[in-house]
Amino acid sequence: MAHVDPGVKMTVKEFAEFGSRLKIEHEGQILDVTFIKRDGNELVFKLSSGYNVRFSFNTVKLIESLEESHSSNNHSMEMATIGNGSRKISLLSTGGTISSKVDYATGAVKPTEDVSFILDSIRDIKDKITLKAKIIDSILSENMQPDNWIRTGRLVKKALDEDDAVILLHGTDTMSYTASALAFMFERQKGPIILTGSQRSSDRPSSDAFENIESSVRFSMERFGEVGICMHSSISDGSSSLIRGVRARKMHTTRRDAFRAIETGELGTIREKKVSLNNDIKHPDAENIFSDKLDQAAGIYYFNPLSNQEDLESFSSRKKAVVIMATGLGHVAERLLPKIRELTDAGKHFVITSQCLFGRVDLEVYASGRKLLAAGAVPLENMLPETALAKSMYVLAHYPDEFEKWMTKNLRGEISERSLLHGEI
Amino acid sequence: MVNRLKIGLEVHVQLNTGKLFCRCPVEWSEEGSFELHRKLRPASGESGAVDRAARYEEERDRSFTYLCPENTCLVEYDEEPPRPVNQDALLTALKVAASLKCSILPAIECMRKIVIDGSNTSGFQRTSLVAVNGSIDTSKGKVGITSVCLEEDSARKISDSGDSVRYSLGRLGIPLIEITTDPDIVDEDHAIEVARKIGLTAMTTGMARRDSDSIRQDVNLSMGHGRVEIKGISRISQIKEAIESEIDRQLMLEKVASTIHERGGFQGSLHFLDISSDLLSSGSSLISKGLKEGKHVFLAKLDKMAGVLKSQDMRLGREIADLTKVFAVQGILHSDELPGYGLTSDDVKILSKKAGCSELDAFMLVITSKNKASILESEIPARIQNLLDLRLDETRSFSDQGRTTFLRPLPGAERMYPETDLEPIRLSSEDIKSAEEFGRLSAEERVNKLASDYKISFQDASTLVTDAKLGLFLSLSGILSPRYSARLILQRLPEIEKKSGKSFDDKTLIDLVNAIKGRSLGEVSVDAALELLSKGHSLKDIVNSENIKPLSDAELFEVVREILPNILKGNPGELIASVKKRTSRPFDPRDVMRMYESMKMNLK
Repeated sequence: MAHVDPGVKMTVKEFAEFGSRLKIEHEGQILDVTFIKRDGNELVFKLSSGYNVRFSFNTVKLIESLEESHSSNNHSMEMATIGNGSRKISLLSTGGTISSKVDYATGAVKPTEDVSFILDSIRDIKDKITLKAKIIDSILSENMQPDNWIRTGRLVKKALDEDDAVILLHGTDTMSYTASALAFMFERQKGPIILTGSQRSSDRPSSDAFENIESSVRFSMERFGEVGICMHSSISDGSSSLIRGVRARKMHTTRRDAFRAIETGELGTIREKKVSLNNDIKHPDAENIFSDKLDQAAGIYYFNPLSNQEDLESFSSRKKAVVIMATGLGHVAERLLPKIRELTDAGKHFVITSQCLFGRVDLEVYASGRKLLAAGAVPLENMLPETALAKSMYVLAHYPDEFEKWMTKNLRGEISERSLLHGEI
Repeated sequence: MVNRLKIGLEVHVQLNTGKLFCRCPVEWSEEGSFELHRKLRPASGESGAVDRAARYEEERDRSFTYLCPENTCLVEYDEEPPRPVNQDALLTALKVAASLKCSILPAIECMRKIVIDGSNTSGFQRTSLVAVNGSIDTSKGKVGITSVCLEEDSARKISDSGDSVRYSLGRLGIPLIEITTDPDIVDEDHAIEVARKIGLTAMTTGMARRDSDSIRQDVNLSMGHGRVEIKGISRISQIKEAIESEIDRQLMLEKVASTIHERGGFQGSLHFLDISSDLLSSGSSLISKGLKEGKHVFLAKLDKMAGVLKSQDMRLGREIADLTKVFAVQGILHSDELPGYGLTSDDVKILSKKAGCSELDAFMLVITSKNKASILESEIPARIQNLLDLRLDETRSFSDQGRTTFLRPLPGAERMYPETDLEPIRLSSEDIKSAEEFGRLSAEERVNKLASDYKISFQDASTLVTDAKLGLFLSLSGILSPRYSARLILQRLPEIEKKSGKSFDDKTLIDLVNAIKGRSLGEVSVDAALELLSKGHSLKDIVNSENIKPLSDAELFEVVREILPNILKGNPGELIASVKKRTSRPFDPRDVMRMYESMKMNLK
């Protein structure tokens, strides 16, 4: 903490050190406080009762500096390991609030690789696992870009070469994009890759983070070769779902059970710590085959009643593939069709998914659908739009000359072969 | 009275403004509730600085079931971030603060107070410091007001089986104003006076919720052995009882401490000996039942504690039992209460020998699972040591048996951190000014002013305030005449509620009266409508009912004319009752009297 002469009004610089214990005067009152931070024109202090107060900084006088700060804002990037059982699991954190700790004094949330908090809840399998935790990134999921997927993918590949399963801690907002991208990048995988996160931040005792990680560890004990998302099955604790990454979608902004398997069964569930896996879960491969090539010249175009040729054209410029989120069965306005024809002729790809999310697109039922087909668009059955985006990037990079063939081929379970009745929509 | 006594109060007043961080109402019925299941863990701070009260709860490893009634939403389920603070509640808190001569803080920061006993789905209670440094004048001098806070109320516990607890979420999120006094209170009666004064101040805002536990008091008490916080006193009269029983307890512990000290002190540890196999043929049903449930029986020597656990004036045994109860362990017996519970004096001799007791030693039997035994093996001696050192700070609750019982350790400042989902609130100068305007009068002066402004009696004004009916009165007197409103609230409503066994919330009443006014009907219709309401008719039906429409003069005249011969023959005192029998529609009895008199005159 900077040296300050007692009796003078404090300035910003002199308050630089978080955690210092001070005696201050504010409006005639002498207070023992902990300095927290400066916020604009205000200084934030913690009273001994634990409450934070904010005083305008020209109303505060320093009487005495009682104790220097002991807190450290550094966190180590070293690996933390728990257990030494035979099942080896890598826990990689990309950031997001699931893998962070709150600082009580400031409320600031910082990343952590300390996962010892799950020890209590996995007591029954603790002796069977070696869990290695590592921070690989510190990024909010809304800031994730394909370059992050590639970097993450390489680290997952390395971890899965060495270990039996990988758990990836990830912000929930774009988790299903990342899961889809990883699913396509791993042509073969010899063990589970499980993404998990938290809807209610881990700075609250009620956070779903604890159970989501616990359940991910339990799923990691199983033998399968899929990229899955593991989150709460309901808003109650006690049950978790594993959802195939290419069929998962975040369907609520805040609820714990926001992630849903769209028009497909879950890969597995956990009830009261017991794992059950679905029969159609893919068996592990003998090896990992991973490609880090993605072509980023793709995008999602949300058709709406205002859409016109100009905005479709400007959206499509510099893109090789455009996923159209069309209405209903897969329709767009007739006024767009000449533009789609023109751009398709110029070598761009238009693939069709539905804003309904649930249900298959079908361009043969109505005349407008048939016209869209005639204009060169490619229907993607019930593939989710975000999945279609990730797949487009993969297919563009690997099979640019056979785009349509590979987009419509079911590679990772992204298309449901049968239209089964799966619960609520 | 002990003159080293220091007493402070925390008064919590629920508000009827709607919930604090969502737009749900504060009234509800439990009908149609669904269930939610959760676990809580303490969110650890830096360098593992988990609050000790929170850590304590975690060791109990409990699961929680929440009943979710109609007045709850995703916010109460901790499935959505809090919505912005309820402005009415905030302004009410400011008014109360100003009335208590506090200085209002310019910026209000919402904090999370970690509470993981399950009473908050999130694992913390949201609380904001609104004002500090006030005072009230009392018959025994000035009492300082440390702070005024605006908090969300917790969920109400329905049942507790130890390992799992059920709560209803109806109460969660109701705004609470928490007023904390300095430890300036000198005795029990003074505490009651202070509680009354603070309560009255809050009630004169007209925003206090009307319910049996809408005002709750915590007592902070110290006799020089640390601060004890006694929670959950819902009746003001119990303050006295709680203080007296806690003083007795601390005096008793002083005696226990000096006795043990004279005997050479406590060792500070216990050794639990598993004697389950020795007791298979025990005559004690407590023990055989426990063994049947797969529990174990542990024996521990309690050094130099013979007679201290339970005797004429020493009760250390009860203190230990209070602790084990917190860990859901009911099976505990000690040698001061034996022989008994099916154990003979021979059993006691054998146990005493097995425990290695000499004359002044006592022993204890704990019937529980191995897991819990290992926790208790360290928790019990730690607690005994604290009690013998007279380090008594902790949170206690006031029980129905008229005594205080151990709840948990006192929480530290570590349990508070900012609510990261809400921005700090900067108060506008108008808000502060209007609060200060309100605070210019004392609570008593405000009751006087209420009586004179509305031309109602002082008695009525003060009952409206203390029964938390001021808010209802202010609303109704904007629609009906103030005098009629007061009579309706203080006489008619209680009559109807008593007769029908139902009670009506403010919103229903205000809606009803508004609707009647909307049909241009008057006070007689309100009476009739309330009758219908008490018979279970819906608001919509009542408002559209012909039965609340008063009889016209002609219709009423017709009825009076019809019954006139009978009345003249019989008892004139039954006139009004007879008219009532003939019609289900309202009328003004004065009109009946007037018509009756004129008909009688005409007959003459």
